[in-house]
Amino acid sequence: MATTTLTSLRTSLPSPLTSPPEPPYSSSYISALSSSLLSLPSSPPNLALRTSSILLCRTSIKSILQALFRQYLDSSSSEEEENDNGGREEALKGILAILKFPLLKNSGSVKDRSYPIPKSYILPTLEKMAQDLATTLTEWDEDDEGRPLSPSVITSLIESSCSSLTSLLLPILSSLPPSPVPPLPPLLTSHLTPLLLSPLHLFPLLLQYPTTSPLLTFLSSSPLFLPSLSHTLSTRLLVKSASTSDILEVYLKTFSFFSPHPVPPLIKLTFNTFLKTRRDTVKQIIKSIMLPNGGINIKGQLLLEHTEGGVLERSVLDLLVGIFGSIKVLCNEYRRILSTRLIEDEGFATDEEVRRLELLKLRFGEGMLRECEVMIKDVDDSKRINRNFKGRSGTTGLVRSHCFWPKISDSSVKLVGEVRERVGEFKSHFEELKKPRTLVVSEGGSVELEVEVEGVKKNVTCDLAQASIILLFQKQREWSEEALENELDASGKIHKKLKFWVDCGVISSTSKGWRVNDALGGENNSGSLIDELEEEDDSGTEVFRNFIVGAVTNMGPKRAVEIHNILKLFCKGEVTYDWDIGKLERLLNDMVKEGDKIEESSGVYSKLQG
Amino acid sequence: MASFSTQAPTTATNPVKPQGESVTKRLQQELMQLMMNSEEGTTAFPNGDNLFEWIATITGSDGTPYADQTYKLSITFPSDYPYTAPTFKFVTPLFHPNIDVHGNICLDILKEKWSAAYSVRTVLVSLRSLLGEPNNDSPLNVVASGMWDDQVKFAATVKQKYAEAQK
Repeated sequence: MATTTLTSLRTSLPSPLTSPPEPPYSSSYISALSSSLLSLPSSPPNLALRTSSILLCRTSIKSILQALFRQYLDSSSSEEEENDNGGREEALKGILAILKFPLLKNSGSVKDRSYPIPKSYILPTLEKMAQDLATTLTEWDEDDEGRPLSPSVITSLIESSCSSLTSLLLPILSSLPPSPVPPLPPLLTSHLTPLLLSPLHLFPLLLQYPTTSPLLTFLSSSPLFLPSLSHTLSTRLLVKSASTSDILEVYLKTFSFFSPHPVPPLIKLTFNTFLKTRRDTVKQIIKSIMLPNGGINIKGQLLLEHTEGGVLERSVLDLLVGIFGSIKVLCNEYRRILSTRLIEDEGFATDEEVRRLELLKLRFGEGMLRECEVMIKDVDDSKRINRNFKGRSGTTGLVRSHCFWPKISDSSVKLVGEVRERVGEFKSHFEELKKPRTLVVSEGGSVELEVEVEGVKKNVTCDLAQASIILLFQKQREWSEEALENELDASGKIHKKLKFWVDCGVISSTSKGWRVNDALGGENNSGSLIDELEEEDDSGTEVFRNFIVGAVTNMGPKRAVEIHNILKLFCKGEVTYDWDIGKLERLLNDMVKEGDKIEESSGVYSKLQG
Repeated sequence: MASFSTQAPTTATNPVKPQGESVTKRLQQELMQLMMNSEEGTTAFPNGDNLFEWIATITGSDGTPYADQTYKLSITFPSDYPYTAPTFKFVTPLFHPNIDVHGNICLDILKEKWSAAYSVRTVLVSLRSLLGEPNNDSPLNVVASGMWDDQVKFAATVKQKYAEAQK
């Protein structure tokens, strides 16, 4: 195999002394050239010399490239079938080989063979190559030989050539002395820069920062850099489908790229305008602050800034706060996330949070975060109360001060059985310790239960209300929903909780109500199932219901879409209406079914009369 | 050393010109409050997409001649609300000593005793209690105020007027 290649090469490649054939090149010449290029490091010195001299001495790189491109296009446009991709792949390999060519000089194996390309050739070659590539690609568009170039072909060509350009440029740029602008030949700059500044290439470069830092620095010397960056960001990143966390991550990369200088106003504006439209930006920012490690890890930067005495000219947080212009929004969101985190942490660990809070306080000021301080203190107090608790082991409580925690709703159902007893024990313990104060059981909490149905056991973690429900089924196998509601003193609130047990496979609905299964059902859901999102949704629903009733009572009958618009217009502030109309219609139908507030006839909702 | 403002205190006749935005914000807030904790027998909502024009509904309290009857009111907010009182007017005609045939209301807190601390909610609650406890010293409807002492006749008239209004 190796011998045949070498023989064919020897015959088809001219010696450096003879002049190579003029274009157009035959396809056999091209393929011989590209395969010799590919095997260059391992080929005999004589052959390597020939190949490289063709590329270096001749002014024909452009023609060769063009021939290769042509071959690539021919094979990709004519053969749509899968079986003949050989020509196409070969051509692509050849292109890549030519593009990678100057790099070979650095590889050890070539040096050992006293590879003949002098060092001073590298940059001129590169320059020439870039020039050729650029002209080839631009001329390609205008080619009128009856073969229309599909944009996707051009794209894939440019993409592959540019990715190799990037990969070969990077080490070169990295090896150059780190001056503000690498001393690249002006021709290279003028040809390569516009190419790399297109969104197609600039975006991956940005994503791969800091690996691509030298190249980006090189590009940033161009006056077109900022407009191109802004354009790239708005076309590739700041689109509806991109997730906010990804956007923030790129924002931070951009930030560190420009650091220690502030992010240029144009770029800042591009980001900020878009991020303002995102509902979850604040949440994501706060979440990233709160990630102990990884993620965007603003916290790390914050710490850094703090410890190094503000070496960074502007903190990342300042930047992000700048998006919203108000730190109150950020603080409120922080409070909410802190609350979930404290509630979820069963170990009552607060050290991390205290440290973070201290850092945030330095930035936001004490006043903004006083509530958070109380929340953390509550957790510490609870830890102490739990330590002194003398009741049945396994009961722990988190005592939350009213007014300081966000959104505490009272327990929706009356607790029963052991759940009630345990909570009662804890309550009397607390009231003994903190005499005039009392305890109200709130929604949520968690109970670990072992459910046994016909000898089969299963461990389930659920909330207090769900536990109360299943304890009732322990007494009696079958319940109607009304009877359960009466028992638990909760009308219309237990349906979802019952669903939880259906999902666990413990009960199922019957015509009369709910019944314990004969055997434990499927594992479609196990473990902790307290769905945060759904819980959140519920809080708004109550207010939306009132708005709906208020609207149809005072304004008269309305259709769903009108109600939707009314809510969008007026329901802002503490609770903001952000549903889509489908969800609203479901709520409206639910309300009609409940039958005590509104009624519907032919799509028009009105207040229930009488 | 504390400094004192030498400016004349703001009065209802000489209000600080508030920005339209803050009035809107205040109204928005009142609406949200109203929706979050509704008061029994009263409700109000913007009429159309103008936040300065509301419509309210009051249901008479049990044990009064107005029990189980619902009355509509219009509320118009001035551009310098809440420094100036909003205008409440009964749209549904009703027979009451302090309300005239055009629906105008005689209630001190809507006139000289208005304060920025009042809100739609407080006014609606006051109006609802005014229905059951009229102030017969300053009547707008003299016939009604004269009839008040004869509760049976009064209730019958109210009922008759209400039935007429429903037609």
